[in-house]
Amino acid sequence: MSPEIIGYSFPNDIHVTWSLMIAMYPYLTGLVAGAFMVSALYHVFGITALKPVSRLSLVTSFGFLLFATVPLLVHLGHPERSLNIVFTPNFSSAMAGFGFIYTAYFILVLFEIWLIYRKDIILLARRSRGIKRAFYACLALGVYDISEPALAVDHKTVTILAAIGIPLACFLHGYVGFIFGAIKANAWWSTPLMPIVFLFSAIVSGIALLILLYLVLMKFANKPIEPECVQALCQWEWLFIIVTVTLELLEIITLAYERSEAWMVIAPLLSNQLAFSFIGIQIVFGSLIPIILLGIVVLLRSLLTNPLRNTIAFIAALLLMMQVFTMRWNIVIGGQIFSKSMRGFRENYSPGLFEKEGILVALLIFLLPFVAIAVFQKLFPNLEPSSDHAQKVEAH
Amino acid sequence: MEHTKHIWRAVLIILLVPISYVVIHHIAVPESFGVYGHYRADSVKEFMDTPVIHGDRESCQSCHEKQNKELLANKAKGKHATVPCENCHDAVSFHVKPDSKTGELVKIEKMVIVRSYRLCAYCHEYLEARPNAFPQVKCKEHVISQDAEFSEEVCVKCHDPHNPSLKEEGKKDEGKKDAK
Amino acid sequence: MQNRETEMSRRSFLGKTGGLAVLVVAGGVTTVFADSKQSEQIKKNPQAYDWSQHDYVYLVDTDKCIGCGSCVRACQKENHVPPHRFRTWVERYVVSHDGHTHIDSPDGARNGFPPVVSDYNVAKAFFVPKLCNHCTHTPCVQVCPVGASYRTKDGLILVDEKRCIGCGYCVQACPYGSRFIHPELHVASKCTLCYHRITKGMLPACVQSCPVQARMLGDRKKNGDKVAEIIATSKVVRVLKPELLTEPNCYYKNLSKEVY
Repeated sequence: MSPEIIGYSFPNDIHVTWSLMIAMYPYLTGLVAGAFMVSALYHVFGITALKPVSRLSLVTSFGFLLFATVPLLVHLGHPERSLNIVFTPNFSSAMAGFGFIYTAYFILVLFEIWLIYRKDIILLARRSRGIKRAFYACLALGVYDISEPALAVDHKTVTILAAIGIPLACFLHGYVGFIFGAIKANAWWSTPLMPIVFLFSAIVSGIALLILLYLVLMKFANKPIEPECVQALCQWEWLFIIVTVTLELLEIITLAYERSEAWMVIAPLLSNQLAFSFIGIQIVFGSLIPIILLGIVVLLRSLLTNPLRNTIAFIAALLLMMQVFTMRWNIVIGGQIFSKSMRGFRENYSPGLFEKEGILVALLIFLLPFVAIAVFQKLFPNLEPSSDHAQKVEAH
Repeated sequence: MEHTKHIWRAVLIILLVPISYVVIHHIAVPESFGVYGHYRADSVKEFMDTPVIHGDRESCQSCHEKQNKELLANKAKGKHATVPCENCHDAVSFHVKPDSKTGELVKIEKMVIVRSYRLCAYCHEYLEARPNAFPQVKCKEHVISQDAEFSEEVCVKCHDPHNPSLKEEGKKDEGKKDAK
Repeated sequence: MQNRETEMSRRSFLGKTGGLAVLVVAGGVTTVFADSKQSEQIKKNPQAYDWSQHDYVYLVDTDKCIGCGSCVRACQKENHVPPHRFRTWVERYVVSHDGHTHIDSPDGARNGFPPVVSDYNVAKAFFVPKLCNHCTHTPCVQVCPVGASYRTKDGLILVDEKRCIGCGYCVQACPYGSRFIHPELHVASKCTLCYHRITKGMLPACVQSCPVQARMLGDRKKNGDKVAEIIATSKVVRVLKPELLTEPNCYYKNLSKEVY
């Protein structure tokens, strides 16, 4: 039952306390923050090419936000006490802010989506009958004002909310990185770069997810895929993955160059237990190949046909989704492979398929946001922005 | 501000969140939380109230002073004087407990007596890391050197666990040298 | 201010502590508390404990430890420690002349140590008992998001088992590997220095069970405390991982440089 140990580990250190679920958690909040960034690129920074995914990105962010806490609750020894974190928060702990940041961000995204969909909701309320009508009327908060000035107010508020949302999303996810980065006891985690690496890779995963969702949804809905939108997503994705990989490697190279104490455990870690998942998947398969693929899309733009671009983008996005998850895994699990004795390593950790914090539960949790997006799509059919709203943004 | 009615309604609903927080906070935080610091003060009391399992170094004497006077005197004289009874036997709370009415100690279980050489070996089997001055032997070699037959209860055949020194001083030193 | 706090704590403990169902220990004067008036008082009336009058320190003399594992066994019984988890454990170091260090701690030394045949020339070998360092600036309390981990006025780090959500952040933050998640209670668990014993004037199970006095409990607020005196005056006393600035209150005498 006990794992195999190389060298000497403190006897309590042989247990992997933070399991697959804790790798899932930053992955999900990363997707929340990343998807929100895409919507912000459109709403705040006026990247109009991203118009077709402006709604989708916000709804995706919300869908993942709904379930971001689930892996944490599955992991907690006492989930029924989870609200202690908001009622008796210990503010010397980075984790204590979680409830408040999460709630604030939740309200913001909900408010923003509501404003964007308000016109649709009111039109749906007018069109429906019975319970359905009551439901939409409730959602409209009883106000049916879709006059030009009212929509202008909505639009202005959305821009403000999106602008507030950027730092909030950065905070929501950057703080997850901080939770790891500020643990001085752990050589693999303790670096001020950690929140930044988390943030950039979050944006990478968010854009990758939107590329996948956009391509798949349009394909299934038999709607045309906007080449400009895919091209824009690929360009941003290329930028962010290059920055992310640079930061990830910078951290390793600095440690190696400094020959720091941390390197004494990280060098064997990277060459043994993490050799496959770090060098193989995170760096080569998950970063190098997508950088080349996206580089083709960006640099050889004129030579590509639309289907070819879509195919390349799809493959690159899939690999990048995997890269970001592997990065989370390597951080969370990698930090628990070696003991704080700095002299011992346990055998690699692999979660069980059926256990409480196992692979099946993780997959299920990962699927839930997609179900939420589908339900949302059912209730509010226009995932693509209605034309007049979009026009206003363009004018803006 | 015209045409902003819906915004204000939404803001009102959002305000329900902090209001309900304040209300629930009042109920959800235990009374003793924060009395001395950012924790539940009653927790300290709960720790203090945790039942004690081992007695202290003199606990056994309260009964055995009378029952085993010689044994205790013998132990006090010997090298094992500093070894608490509960190290080799068991924790006193598995053996006696206070009567619920009178508070007098009542025996609930016979005390464990281990005669195995393994118990002795915890301390006295030769290990490189043990301080040199501490008496230790390579158990099996020691038994052979004494022309004895090795068995589970071999140590207690010659050594009294309560006062392990042998009468003949010479033999004791020999044991120590064996280890070197 | 000092008086008020003292008064508060006294009132609280007097008021809240009901009839202690303690195994009353007759003649329970122990070495450390032997000459203290307070221990007499505690013996008669366990509720008389006043935590503002204590500041505990722990001292391990590695030259004395024989690696018998009595402390580990006593701790596990006293505190119902689950299997393969440790509130205290003992490490064995076997160091060669060229500095090669072999360390082990089979099942935390719960069953002592088996003899090993080293294939090199042993320069020195010794045992090191480990436990929670009850740090003054402890990262574990800092990172607890809900205020379940805390530091008592008498200087100990405890975990409120009724508030702990079992997130495991403190386990990650402890540089000494002193914490673990209890597999049945699903909360963080650790050494309490046997708070239920020391507040009754008894010794922690590990200190009491040590046959060679390698483990010692002291009290900085007690006049003439021998252990506190050694820690204050000795030049061969140090703490583990001092560079992390956690300010441990568990000190090591004659600790070899291989240990951290």
